[in-house]
Order: sequence, then structure tokens, then C-alpha cells
Amino acid sequence: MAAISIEALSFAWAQQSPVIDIPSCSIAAGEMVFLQGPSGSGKSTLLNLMTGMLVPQRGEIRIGDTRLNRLNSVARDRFRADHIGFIFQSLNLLPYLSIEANVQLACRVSKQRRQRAIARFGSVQSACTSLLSSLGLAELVDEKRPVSQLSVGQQQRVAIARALIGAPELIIADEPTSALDTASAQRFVALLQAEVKAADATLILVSHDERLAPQFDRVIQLADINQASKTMGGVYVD
Amino acid sequence: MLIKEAIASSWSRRGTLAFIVLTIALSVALLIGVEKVREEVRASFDRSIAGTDLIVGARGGELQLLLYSVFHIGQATRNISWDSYQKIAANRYVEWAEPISLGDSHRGYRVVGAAPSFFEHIRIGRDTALGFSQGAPYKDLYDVVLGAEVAKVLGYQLGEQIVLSHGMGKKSFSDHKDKPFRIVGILAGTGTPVDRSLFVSNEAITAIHVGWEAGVPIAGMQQSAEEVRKLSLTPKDVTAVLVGVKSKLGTFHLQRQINSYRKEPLQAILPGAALQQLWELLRNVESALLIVSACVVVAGLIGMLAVLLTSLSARRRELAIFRAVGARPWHIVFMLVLESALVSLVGALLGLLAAVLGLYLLSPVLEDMGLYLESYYPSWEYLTLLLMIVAAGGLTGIWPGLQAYRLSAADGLSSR
Repeated sequence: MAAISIEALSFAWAQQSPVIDIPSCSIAAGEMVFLQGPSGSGKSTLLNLMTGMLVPQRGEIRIGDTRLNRLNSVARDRFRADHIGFIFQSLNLLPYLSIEANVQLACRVSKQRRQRAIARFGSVQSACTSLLSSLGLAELVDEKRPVSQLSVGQQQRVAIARALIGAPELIIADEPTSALDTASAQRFVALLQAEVKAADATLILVSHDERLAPQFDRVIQLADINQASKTMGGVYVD
Repeated sequence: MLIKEAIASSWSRRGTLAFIVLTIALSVALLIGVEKVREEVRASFDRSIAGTDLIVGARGGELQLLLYSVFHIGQATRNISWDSYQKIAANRYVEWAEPISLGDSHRGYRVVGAAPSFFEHIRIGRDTALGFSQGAPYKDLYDVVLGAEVAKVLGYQLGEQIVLSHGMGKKSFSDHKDKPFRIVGILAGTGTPVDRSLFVSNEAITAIHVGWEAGVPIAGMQQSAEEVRKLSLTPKDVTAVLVGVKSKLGTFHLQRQINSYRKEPLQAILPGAALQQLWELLRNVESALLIVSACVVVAGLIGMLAVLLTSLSARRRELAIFRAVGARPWHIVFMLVLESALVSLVGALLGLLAAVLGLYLLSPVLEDMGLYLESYYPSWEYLTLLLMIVAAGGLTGIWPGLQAYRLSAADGLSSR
């Protein structure tokens, strides 16, 4: 079964020519996909479509069995909470919450992820502890280190834990390594992939940094699937 | 519900929010202060008349009679005869009747001519009798008893001699110099006009006016203080009579009898009813004060609205994180409503505290203005007021909440 399937997807900002025009694209469950594109190629728009933050004007986007474009906005929010873990480029964490509270935030919003965490680990707390220790962050938690005193790499690892807690089926990371040096970036990706694999989830990592590409099962060049970028002649509007 | 997260978020911005809390606290303190003073003024007026069932005076305005007889505001146009007083005192419904003679003063304070029994019969509030802090009621013709404020402000001690002045005004030109009075008693503070009065016997009032029948001393008619003692000093008339009835049921019978008395145009008023007229008159002023202080609270809330709206642009990152984990629009709205409600709650509680503290600190000033506070603590009725302010504060958060949602929807999950 496909984790994501896209058919004739088209999106344009008001009164402008489309920035996304994807005839067809499918990502299988459990796949590790590297979605590459230079900045301004419509990456962010595509991410917002895949997470249900935006609705396409035409076409279909399906996550698992759910046709995201058929849901209303509240249902899309709920779907995102239950089924998608998202990692930002940086500044993933709320500075006023502890490391653990940041991780558990996903379970505070989604009942389904809370129940899954409890079913698997007995409690949200132990799900959180288990994830953080496999990400090598147990010591920082023990020290009660404030989030603001974590390094960027540590913050991004906490973000992995938050994306994965409660076992969502799809993990989307938007340039998560852009603030890391090459060595750390590769370590980060390896760690992320190990955790995603352990959770039986699907990973889509978006980046313009092609040095990461070899670590993935599959590399998709956004320019290859997005017709809009061709018609614009390489001048991208995002 | 994300309550914990919302509170942690607000706490992390406590530096900015503190100023809004302060603004709301000040406005609430003002509102409560104004309300409290208004209540206390009413209570103080009520206290002054609570023990008196009827006030009898010359026919005229009811409110006017109440004001000059009890509150020493304004003047009587006419007096009533001693004969009428005696008839009232002998009436079968009457428990006690205290004649009072007004018209003289001492350094701006009114002199009240009254019998020694006045101190037994007049009640402060429902059942507190007038008490002496020093000395006792007058026995001699030229003895005087001072109200608490008079003694305090003018620094008088027992045994001192003072001179009364004819008419009102701090610099009266006609003093009763030839007949000085000796201070024999000082009353305890009551928070009523009694504190600002000097008391002498009704006979003393007659005595100091011998030879003053025309309103000024007439040459050749003067008699010395000792000579006057030999005259009959029973007053010919008095300004008003304060009456206590035997049973409350008799009040209305008595009132009707006095109002229809044929020999002299008298009127008997129920002091509570007359006071009610005063409150009717003052209602617009009270409302105006209340509206002004309510406007200050509204201004505080608008200030909060401005701060919350301004803070949103700095909170875009935070909102994006909440949206990324799937927080729904109402989560975002709820967070801002909770924040504004909390800020209002803390502001309102601080304001309450500030009002109590402020009244406590200002009470000497208020006492100088003649207002004695019975308590500094607001009644439970203020709880409704505070709840309304907190509710209004919470509602104020809806707009920034919707604005926050719109902002986060526009930002999406793009890295900005």
C-alpha cells in the first residue's frame, strides 16, 4: 500500500500561475524518500499540501487510505495530529517547556497517539523516556537541562522524538539538517532513519543538500515530478 | 486542552504581561475604591439616622429638614415652638423626644443645643449609644461637650474655656464673648456629624442670646453671665425635635398627627425615606463616577488587547509548532483566551488587594473629610464584579486568538 499517492495535483496562490502541478507520484509505506529541490522550487508548498495545511485547487492527495483533499480543515488538523510527525529546519522546541514536555506535546494534542504510546510502552512518560534514551538524550533529561541550553543538534534530536512519539505513520522533515555541519547531518539522518525504521513509519526528508542523498532508498527530484517548475522556466515562485 | 502549555507560555512572557496586569490592577482598584467609598458614604449617612424614628421641624422640604437637623447642611428657615415640642414629648406614641437648637458655631463647627438626655437617646447605627471618651454630659449652664473631631482638630482638653460665635462661618464677627463655656466632655468618634459638633444645653442657647433678640447685641440690653442665670431660660422655640417611638407601628399615626397639627405648621419626616430622596438626587453623580471607573477598566482591557495582538508576530514560531503537532484552531484561540483571562484574574485580584491597602492608607485623609470607613474589606458582592472583569478579559482574548489562528494558517509549516 502506498503511504502517499498524488494524482493530478495542482496548487496556485490566488490569481497566480500554479506552483505545484504534479501529474502522479506515489511513495510506498516504509520507504525512506529524499525529496530534493533548490529553494523556491515549491517544496514548502508541497509540504503544506501533504500535511493538510493547504488544500489543492485540483487533484488528489492521499495519505494511506485518507483523501486529505476531501477533509474539512478541522479533520485535516486532527489527521495531522494523529498520523504525521513533523520536523522543522530549526527552532522545533518551545523554549518554556522541558525537553520531555516538548516531546509529549504530540500526545497532548492527539488522543490516538497518546493511546498508541500507552499501548506500546505502558505510559506516555515511558514512551518518551525510551525514545529520548535511544536518541542519546537521557543524560540531558536527567540534568533537567532547559531547552534553550541545548545545541542545535540536540534540539533536532528532541524534535525526532516528538515526531515519532505515539507512532505516526508518516514522518516529514523539512531541511532538518540545514543548521548542522556535514558530519552531524549524516549522523542525524542515520539516527532518524533508524528510529523511523523501528517505528515502521515512512520518511520524507526534504533538502537541497544532495550530499545526504546516498543514505536514502529513493531520491525524488522535485523538478522531475513538478510540471509547474518547468513551465516557469526555472524561475521559481514559492 | 493544552492548559499546562498555555500557562507555561504566558509565564515565559511574564515581563511584558506584568505591565498589563498592573494596568488592570490599577483600574480594578479604582473601580472598587469608588464603589467602596460610595457604599461607605451611604452607610455613614444611614448610621447617623438609624436610631431616630421621626424628625419634626417647621414645614418645608423633607430633605431640607433632614439635612439641617442631622447633617448640619443648610439652615432652618423657621423654628418650632417649645409648646409644640412639649405636646410631641407628651404624645402616647412617643418614647423620647430630643429638642435641638441650631444656629451658633465655634470655629466653623456647629453648636447643637440639646438636653443631656440626648447622649442617652441618640443611637449611632442600630444600637450603639453615644459614648464619652473623656468627661461626662454637661451639668452647669456654661458647660460644653465636644465631638471627637472638634477636640482632635482644635486640640482642646477638658477644662478649657471656649467662646461660641453667633451664626456660621469660621470667622464670625459676633462672638458670645461675655459667656465663655468650659469643656466638660469629649465624645468618642462615631463617623457621623456628631463628631463635628459641639453640644450645650438648650438653656445655654437661650442664655447666650439674651439681649440678642434682634439677631445682634442691642446696646444696653446686655446682662452678664451670672445675671442671666437668674432668668427663666426655658427656650421659646427649638430648631427641630428628634423622636423615638415606643413601637414602630406608632410611627405613622404620630407622623399623621403631627402633620395635621393645627396650631403650628409642623412636619414630621421619616429620616430613612428622606435620605432615600437624597440618594435619588445623587444617583446620576454616582452613576457617572461608576461609569468613569468602568471606562478605566475597559481602557485596561483594550491595552491588553493591544499587547496580545502585538505579541502575536513574536509568537509565530510558537504557533507553527503547535500547528505542526496538529493543534486545532480552537486550541490556539483557547490559549489566548486563557492567557487574557489569567492576566485579568491576576490583575483583578491585585487590584482588590490594592483597593483594600489603598483605603487603609487613605483612611486618615478620608476621616479628615468626615468619612469613617467601617471596614476596608469589600463585600462578597464584589466577587460578581471581579468575575465579570475576568470574563470580559477572557472574551477580549478571542480576537487575538482568531488573529493568531489566521496568522498560523497563512504561515503553514514553512520554515520562516
